[in-house]
Amino acid sequence: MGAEFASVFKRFLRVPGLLVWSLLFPCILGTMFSVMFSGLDEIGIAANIPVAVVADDGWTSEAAETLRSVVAHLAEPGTGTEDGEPLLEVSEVATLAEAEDLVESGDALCALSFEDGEPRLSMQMSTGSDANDTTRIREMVVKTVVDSTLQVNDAIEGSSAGLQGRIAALVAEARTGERSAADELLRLRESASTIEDHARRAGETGHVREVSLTKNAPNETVRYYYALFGMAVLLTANIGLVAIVNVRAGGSSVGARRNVGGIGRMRLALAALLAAWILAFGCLVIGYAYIGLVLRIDLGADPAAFLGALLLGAALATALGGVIGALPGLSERARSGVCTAVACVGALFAGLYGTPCMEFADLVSRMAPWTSYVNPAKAISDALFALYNYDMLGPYWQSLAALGIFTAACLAIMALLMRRSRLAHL
Amino acid sequence: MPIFKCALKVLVSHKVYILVYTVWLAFMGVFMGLGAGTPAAVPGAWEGEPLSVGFVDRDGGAVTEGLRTLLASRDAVADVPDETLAMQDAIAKGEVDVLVIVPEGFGEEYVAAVRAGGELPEVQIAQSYYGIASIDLEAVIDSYLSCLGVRASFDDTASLATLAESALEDCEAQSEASYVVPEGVSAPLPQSFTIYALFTSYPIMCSLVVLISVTLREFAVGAVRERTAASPQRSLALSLSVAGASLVCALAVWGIMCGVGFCAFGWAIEGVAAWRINLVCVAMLCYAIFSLSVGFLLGQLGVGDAVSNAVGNILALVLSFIGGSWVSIDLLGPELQMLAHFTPNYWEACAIELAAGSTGTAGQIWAQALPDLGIVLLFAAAIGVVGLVVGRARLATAPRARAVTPFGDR
Repeated sequence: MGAEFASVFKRFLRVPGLLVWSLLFPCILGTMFSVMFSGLDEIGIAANIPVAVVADDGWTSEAAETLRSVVAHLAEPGTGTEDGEPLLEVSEVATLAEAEDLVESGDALCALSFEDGEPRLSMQMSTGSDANDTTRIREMVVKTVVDSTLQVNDAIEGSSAGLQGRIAALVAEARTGERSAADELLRLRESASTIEDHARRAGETGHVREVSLTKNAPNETVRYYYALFGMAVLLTANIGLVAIVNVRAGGSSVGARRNVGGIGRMRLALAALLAAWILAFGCLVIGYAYIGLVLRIDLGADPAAFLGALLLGAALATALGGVIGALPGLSERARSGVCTAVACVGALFAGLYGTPCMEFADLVSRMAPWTSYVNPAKAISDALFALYNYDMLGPYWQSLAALGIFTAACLAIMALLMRRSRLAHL
Repeated sequence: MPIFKCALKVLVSHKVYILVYTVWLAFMGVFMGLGAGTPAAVPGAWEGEPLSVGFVDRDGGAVTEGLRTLLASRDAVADVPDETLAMQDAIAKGEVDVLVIVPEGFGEEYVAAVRAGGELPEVQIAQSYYGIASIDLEAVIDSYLSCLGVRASFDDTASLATLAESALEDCEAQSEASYVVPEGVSAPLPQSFTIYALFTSYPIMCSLVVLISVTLREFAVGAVRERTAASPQRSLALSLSVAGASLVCALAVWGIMCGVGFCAFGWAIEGVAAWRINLVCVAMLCYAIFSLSVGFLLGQLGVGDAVSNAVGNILALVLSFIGGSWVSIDLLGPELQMLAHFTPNYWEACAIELAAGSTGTAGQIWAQALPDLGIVLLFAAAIGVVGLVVGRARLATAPRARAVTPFGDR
């Protein structure tokens, strides 16, 4: 058994494919992610939204005074979500045609004009080809700001009209000698300036406060690293595959020679699997250390719990590789293809391949939550994600439990397949 | 012709690679495209994109009900249980774009504070990944509460229900918004099809690099090579036959990618101008030719199956990310954006983006896209020339067969 255990390690170093897929590939992908994904944090920022304002007679009229002051305020530094930056970057032009030219050329997101007593927006058409395209939602921000000036104006006008109507009714009552009406009129007169102050404060004060509910601030980029670890775990299945193929009598010539010896089949398999598990875990630890220490990516989780998830993931991958290696009737190329296919599919549903893929993975996870437990890459990714987001360890243990059940099932299937192997005989 | 047929048989015999890299990865692209699913922007009326809003109502009063009604009129509002895990799940897993939490007693406290001039209570929001969505929602909530506060200031006898109803009426005021539609523009491609087209760079490169390199290797080494060298067929004819089979393979993979895209997204691209779709297909074909040249180079290098698989997968992944096929190039740093220009994926993505949504006539867009496609073909030519040089060098240094006499003398 000891000899078989040691031979798995030696074989790992002699088969380049194992080194590439289990060790180098995650490091290469992690390096690529580290230089690529910082820009994703930028899409949460609303600042310097370019708006072309048609500064004609309508815009300078008295009816547009509130809108002018709001736009001027939002063009001041500090009104955007990025420190010191304004929300809007305003360019004034003389005509609507000039403003629409700016929109068409992409220099402005929208053109704002004031026609017939009402604001009008001409928006840029979104190409819609990029899931990170924020054109539509930036347009929504501008529209909402413009609409809010209309709405608050309507509220003021409606309230004023209502108050005047009330005063007129009270005056009529007071003329009939109604004492309470006169007192009410006096009270309203004394509180006129207070009413105006309160209304102005209600109209100008912010009413919303942002809070954080998760352990760490939501960060899309860290999810890609977790999906990367999910795929890296599945890629280490190749180690288990090679280990089992070389102890199956019908798997390879090496396996045939191993089985001529006096050691039982299951003991050989156990030694091979243990060695493969340690190797797989070692590769994952190296990948974790590289991403955390060399690339300095904040994976935001307790290292012990993180490594615990990787340890169980390595066990699952080894068992899965063992099942693929124990399947009868497949060529070496086909087994390798199955391993690759499982890793690619698992990574798809874990959201590795960019933003549309991550959104697709979230959609599938919402529509069919059980898929998160049967996809090892997703289960690993969810376990690591749970460490990042939740204050409690319940979701983490749930994902690990799914991994444990999956591992046990793979080991059982593999034992069944190896036990039932029939070899050529006289 | 026999060599051509033989090469095709060798290609087809790699069924696992065809199934995994061509068919299955194509369907992965379909799943991703279907997950995106945003309809194309139609020229004319402008509509905002509904946000996904989670609502936690701890108040239960008329003011909060009015706020929920307002949000539901423009966004998809879902009630989230007032439990820590449920709220964390909603935010962390992107189930909602923004979570709105209305504190207990908010409505009464707000109106009382407005009328008394005291400190105004606040609604809480928690954002998911896209913080810009919370900015828009914050402005909507501010507007509603401002209108309600103004109403409450002017009428200190009105009930909460009356104030909420009035504020909702005030919030019906909307400015007019439309798209700037240049003359001659046609509807852009739907996002689903565009995402699929951009994703196909990965399966195209994986399939062609692996299939062609392992096939060329079969003819370039060992006993097969010795037998074909001993045949009366000239080496040029042999090479052309194998090249022809590789070209057929490239066209077949390209055809499968286009076919899967049309089958999956035919309903979405109905009504879109044919020239946009044609341009996308031509861009994919140019990239297939580039992938063919990379496979040719690996075949000339004589690498084995494992190395072909590794190079095909890793190269395809790296080029797809850096070239902007999977993540917008605008989100990369300036150094990476510069590096992206040296990848064919960048130019293919440019051509597909032009086809997807550029405003202009067919002639104008094709004229802009042709240089991008030309650069992809230049990459293919460059790699192909390197492959020829490598192949020639390996031929020159290959061990030669020497004549052997009947007595074994040389």
